[in-house]
Amino acid sequence: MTDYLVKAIRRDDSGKGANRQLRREGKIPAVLYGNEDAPEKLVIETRDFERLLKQGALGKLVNVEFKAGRSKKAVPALLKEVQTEPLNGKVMHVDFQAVDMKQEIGTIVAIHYTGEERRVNDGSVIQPLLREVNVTCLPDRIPSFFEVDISGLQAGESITVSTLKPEEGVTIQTPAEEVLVTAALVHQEAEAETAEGAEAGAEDAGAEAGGEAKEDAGK
Amino acid sequence: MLVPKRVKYRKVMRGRMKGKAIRGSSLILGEYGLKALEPGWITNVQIEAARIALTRYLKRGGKVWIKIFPDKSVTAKPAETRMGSGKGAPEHWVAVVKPGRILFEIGGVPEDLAREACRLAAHKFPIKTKFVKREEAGELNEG
Repeated sequence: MTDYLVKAIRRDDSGKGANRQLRREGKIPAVLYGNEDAPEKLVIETRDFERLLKQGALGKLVNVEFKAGRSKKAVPALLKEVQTEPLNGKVMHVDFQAVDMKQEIGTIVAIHYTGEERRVNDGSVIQPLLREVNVTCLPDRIPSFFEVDISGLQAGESITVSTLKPEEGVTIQTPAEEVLVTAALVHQEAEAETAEGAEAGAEDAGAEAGGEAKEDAGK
Repeated sequence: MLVPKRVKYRKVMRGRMKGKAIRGSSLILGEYGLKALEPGWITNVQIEAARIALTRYLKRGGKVWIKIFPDKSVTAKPAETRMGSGKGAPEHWVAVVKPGRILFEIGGVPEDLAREACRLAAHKFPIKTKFVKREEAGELNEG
């Protein structure tokens, strides 16, 4: 059903004190919601989860396994959200959304741009504007990624969402006319910008000083 | 130089720089970036100096995004002035930066070039910074 497995333990404590204690012990507080039962507060191991993230499980279907009473329970869920610490990028909290395997769900799918090394150097720079698209599909049909070949992209050209060819049963929700990637001529832009910046800077400084002097005089 | 076009109030209070940057702490546009590790005020002159250092080093390509804007005015009294008689005149503009904030983003260049450009740009700032790059699989940003 799914390649990813998350082993979790139920927890009773909540709040920042208990969660900080968990993080100090190398664990991550998590929550599982979305099914008919009440939300489950869980704990997962940081090392296992980071390994899972590196495999690209974000936005994918995972099996959350935890002990419910005397028996083990495995719930298919979407790895919905991962909260990270802004400074060191450590995982702070994870959200799992339980899914019904017969009902379509909305998720994100990453876009991989390939063929950059085969591109002819025409002074342009590949500028990806979207790195993921929103899709709706059945939970077991979530694509791993979409591949976009950019080897033929020339300066000034762009590729839109409409070029993506999803499998049957997968609907892309991102508007078809939205630009995925563009080849922008930045070399000339940067030069012009530098020249403009120098001029504008001089003008701004002059105008600002003048303006302030007048305002101050008025007071 | 980055300066606000117009402001509602010319002089603002100093404020505090508590906590970490929640917004603007992950890479959005580019592949690489420079992340602040300390809080501080970054002046528009420092931002411009860093931008010039980056664009000069990346002259063969790449794109640079400035992710901070100096929207806070800093006042100063003229030299040899007695205390009192009100707050000084606006002297320069600063961006308030908290730890974790992405200052610059770079795209369209190899990693070694971006790393060196960021090292040069980092020297222009009064705070500690680190080079960050976009993670491939998990879409999480890590230094």
